[in-house]
Amino acid sequence: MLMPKRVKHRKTQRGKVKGNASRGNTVAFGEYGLQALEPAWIRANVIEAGRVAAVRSADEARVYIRIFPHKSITSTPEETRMGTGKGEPDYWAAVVRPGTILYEVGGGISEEQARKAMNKVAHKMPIKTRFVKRRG
Amino acid sequence: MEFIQIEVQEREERGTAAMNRLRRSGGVPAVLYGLQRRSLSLTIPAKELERFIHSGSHLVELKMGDETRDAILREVQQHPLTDQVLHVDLVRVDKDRRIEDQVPIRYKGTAPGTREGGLFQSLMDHLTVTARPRDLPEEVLLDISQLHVGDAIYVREIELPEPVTCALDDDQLVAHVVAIRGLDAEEEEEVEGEEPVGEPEIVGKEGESAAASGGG
Repeated sequence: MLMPKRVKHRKTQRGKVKGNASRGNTVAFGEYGLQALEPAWIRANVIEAGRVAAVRSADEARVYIRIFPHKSITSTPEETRMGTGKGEPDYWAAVVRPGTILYEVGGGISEEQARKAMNKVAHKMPIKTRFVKRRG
Repeated sequence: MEFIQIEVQEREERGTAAMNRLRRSGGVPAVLYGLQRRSLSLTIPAKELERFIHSGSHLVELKMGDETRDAILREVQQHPLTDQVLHVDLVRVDKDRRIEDQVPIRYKGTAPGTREGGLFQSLMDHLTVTARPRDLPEEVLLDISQLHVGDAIYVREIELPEPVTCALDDDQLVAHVVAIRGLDAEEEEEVEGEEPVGEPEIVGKEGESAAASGGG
């Protein structure tokens, strides 16, 4: 699963997901892509599930993952009393704003095949997404 | 490529709030520059602009009152989610002078190399060509139905209609089919197996203090 190799801090503050994506919002490497329509934290295991779904349904194509889980999400164990401090890192997530391109497919794949592949990936995602083409 | 006529108005208003008002009222802000003349701010009716963009042509004849000016579409800014056209850049052109423009490349067919264990990679989606505006092709069609593993298409192999010339280096690679190093079986297995979730290395002050407390 994806996670950073080196970090400065083990735990991060939660932050807010505000506005639309101002970067990473166009299909840049492949010909077709899957665009997020809602803000979300997408877990590393979900990104991996999406990748596997895309590779299996578009085996002749090249799949690009456009997001990376940079953020560590902590959790406290159940039945913990108040005041024991911040929990331990539980998983890694990518912070996604509406408009972010999550995955791309390219390499001479037909639009029909790409739609099928991206539809499979979309079912793995916890948010609404849409199929997009590269802008000419 | 044919010139498409659009009626435009010169625009005095500037700034975000004014442009948002303009977009709400059915206009699109645009800018016209080039040929070493003063740049002009314009307003284009959104419906006319949509018609022009979907026509596939880049060439536009701007009608401003009694005057007409020839221009070429250089850039279209779109909203990432709604695809609404936010702004366009137009460059003045002289009908008789050769210009440099980007023409989209369309790949036709399926490379047989992809069925032989290869991967088709297109390294260019636009070709830079030089020609008089009217001679510019709408697209460059490349047949990839003969590309096997290891085959490639170079700029020198692209056939362009007579007055059009390519502005790129002849040896530049356009597309190729590369062999994939038997990753399918190995990679899938790696994914299926349960991976232990490790922790990343901590660098900087926090990492130093953690190491010191661990050691002491």
